[in-house]
Amino acid sequence: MHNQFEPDPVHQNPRFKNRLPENAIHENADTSLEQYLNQLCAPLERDLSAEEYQATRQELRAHLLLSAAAHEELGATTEEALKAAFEGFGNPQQLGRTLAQEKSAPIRANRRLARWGRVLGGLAGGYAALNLTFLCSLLLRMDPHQGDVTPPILLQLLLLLLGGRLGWLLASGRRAAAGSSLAALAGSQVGMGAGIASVLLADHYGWLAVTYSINSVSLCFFAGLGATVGWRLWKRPKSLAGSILLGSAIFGLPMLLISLRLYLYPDYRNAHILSILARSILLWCASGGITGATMGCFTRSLVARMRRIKAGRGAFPFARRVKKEDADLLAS
Amino acid sequence: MDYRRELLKGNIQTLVLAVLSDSPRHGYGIAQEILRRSGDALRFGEGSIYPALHALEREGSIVGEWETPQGGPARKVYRLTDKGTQELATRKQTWSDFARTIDRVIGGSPDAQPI
Repeated sequence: MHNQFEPDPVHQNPRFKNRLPENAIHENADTSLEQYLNQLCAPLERDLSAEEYQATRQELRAHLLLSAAAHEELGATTEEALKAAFEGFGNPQQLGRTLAQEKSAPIRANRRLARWGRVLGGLAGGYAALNLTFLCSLLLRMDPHQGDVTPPILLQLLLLLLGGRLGWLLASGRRAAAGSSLAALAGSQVGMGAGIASVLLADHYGWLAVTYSINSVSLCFFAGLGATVGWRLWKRPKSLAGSILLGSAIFGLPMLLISLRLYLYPDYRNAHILSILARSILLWCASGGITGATMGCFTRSLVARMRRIKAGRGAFPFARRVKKEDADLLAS
Repeated sequence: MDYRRELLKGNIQTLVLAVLSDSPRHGYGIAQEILRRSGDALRFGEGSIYPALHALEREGSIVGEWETPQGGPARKVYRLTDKGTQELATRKQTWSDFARTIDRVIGGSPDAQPI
């Protein structure tokens, strides 16, 4: 599918000035037609991307030109023909509002999703920070049988806040949640990998190494699975909660089983089964579900973006910059 | 409230789908074909087909592709997808059921039976 838009005086709009080549402006564009299109397309400016705006405007212009040509064939002058085409098309303000309502609704929904993405990115970041700290403290304490390896609660909260903020910023910058959650997950896996490596070195803690290896592999595998489910469910914008829940269930169930299996070890026998269950559900299900679903959503948005680029309806930020520089060079 | 206008507004997507079921067309062509088929009875602002077209495109019932004819402006030509064909069949059925039901109530057709 080609994006063969005719150049458009909309470039004069400051919003698009830096994004489209100056030499693309029609020198002899009909003023009344452009004025009509300006009124018609004004409500679309706010929500549509420059490319979508251009495409819509071009489509409407083509219609009006065809309509005017038909009137001209019947003997009308160019001005009369255009006037008749405008009358036949309808009230531009009212039509513009209807069109904006139709086209903007999904875009606004996507914006809401992007906000959710930032929240999820923040949560994923917090989770990764906590996970890393836990593993660091495990590394520092060479004998895991001596006491609890959980960091102090204040440190946990601080890390949660810092990680959350970092995740939020990453998600805002990338316009999607998956980047941050992927980074968070990668970070937590690096930390976990380091933990495993260090424990493996101490061969008399072999059982711990096996446990952490299983946990780590499960974490990767089920986060991926949760992400896939999240991705599929994401087709329907209202299914965010559904994807998180499902991602949690898929991710959390095996982790729950692993936790129960750990209960059989002598160190865990004294702990209350409910405490282990609660901890497992909170830690693995919630964090895994959120991370998995976020990854799915983000991957989906990334794939959608790639498809748009492939279809010629978008560009990577750096490509856009290069295009603009080329256009500037040509113009000069 | 303009009753005819409201009725048309609610069925414009069905009209667009029906016109596209014959052959792919651009927006202007669709508006003209609706007018021709209705014997100039369905006169409406031609622009009002665009919200309908974009809604149908978003839900995947139709797809639009840009074409540049020689000596003319680039235009977006729409064609029906498989989903659109199914959608049209459903809408046709719904419309005929609805029309029959309304006829039964208001006694608008000779074969109308009281409920």
